[in-house]
Amino acid sequence: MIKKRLRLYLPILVLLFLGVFLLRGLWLDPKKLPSALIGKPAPAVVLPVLSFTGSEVAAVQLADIQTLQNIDALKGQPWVLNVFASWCQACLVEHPHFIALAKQRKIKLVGLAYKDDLANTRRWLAQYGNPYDLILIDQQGQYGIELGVYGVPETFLMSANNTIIHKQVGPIPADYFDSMALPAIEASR
Amino acid sequence: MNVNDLNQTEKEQYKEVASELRCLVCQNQSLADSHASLAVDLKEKIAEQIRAGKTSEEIKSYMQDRYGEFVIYKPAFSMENAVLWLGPFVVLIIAVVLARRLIKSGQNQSETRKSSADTQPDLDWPERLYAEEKKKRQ
Repeated sequence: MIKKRLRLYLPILVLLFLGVFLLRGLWLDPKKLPSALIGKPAPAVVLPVLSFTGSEVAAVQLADIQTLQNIDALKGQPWVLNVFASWCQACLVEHPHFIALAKQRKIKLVGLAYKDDLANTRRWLAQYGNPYDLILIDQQGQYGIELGVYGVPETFLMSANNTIIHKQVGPIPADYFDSMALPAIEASR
Repeated sequence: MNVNDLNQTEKEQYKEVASELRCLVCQNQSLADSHASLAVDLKEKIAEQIRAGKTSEEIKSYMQDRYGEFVIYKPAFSMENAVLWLGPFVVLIIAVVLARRLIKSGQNQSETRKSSADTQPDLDWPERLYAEEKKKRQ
């Protein structure tokens, strides 16, 4: 008798089981990829620094590539690496959030000007404001490949010893620091 | 480095590797088919590495280290994707077992029906019915 009952309900149970997975699938974004680099050290290279002081809208100067920054030298405190470009529309969505974050001075913000014309980068920063403590240049997209960047903007969170602890593909949310950065920093301690 | 700078055997390897890697920008295309800016960069990277004498496996694991397993069209078997690799076979085995059981029980039933019909042909039913009816009327 119980066996017969079970046989009756089994198809419904299997269907429900499948339904749970399919329902969950509705809220998953198959285009979002987990970063393969979480938990790994930030690729240690030396990158040129973009000189930018305030509202200058100057052409690219030789001085741009005379200062270099070793990624390893940024160790010591958690920091954020934001991959951005002046040609990137979605970057404008998150830009106000970075400006706000910069005003709060909660964490060091490093920008990576990705495959961008430097004159355009400067013009863009002059127009929308510069939230970055430091702007690095990746004109060929080579550092982007090392970081596994596939869609700008992307935002990496580095721990105090330069381990990649979080990655956001696409614009950061307004509460990025509290909802994503802080928990990741806490978890990495 | 451009693919056109490679020699013939290098080009063969290039084609093989680029068609087995997925473009990350347009995710249903292989690197070989894609003209997205990142795909072009990655293809140059492949050409460079082929010229440097790297094997196809080395190049693919270079990409996998940076972009994750997603870039590989044929992911290697691992504990994480074991369900995907083995799932179909498990379902197939279950289906075969169930089908065998169903067929067997079906055969048994029809056999018992047949055998009972063969050994005891119920031919005197009109007499029985008549007797029963007679009893009731008495």
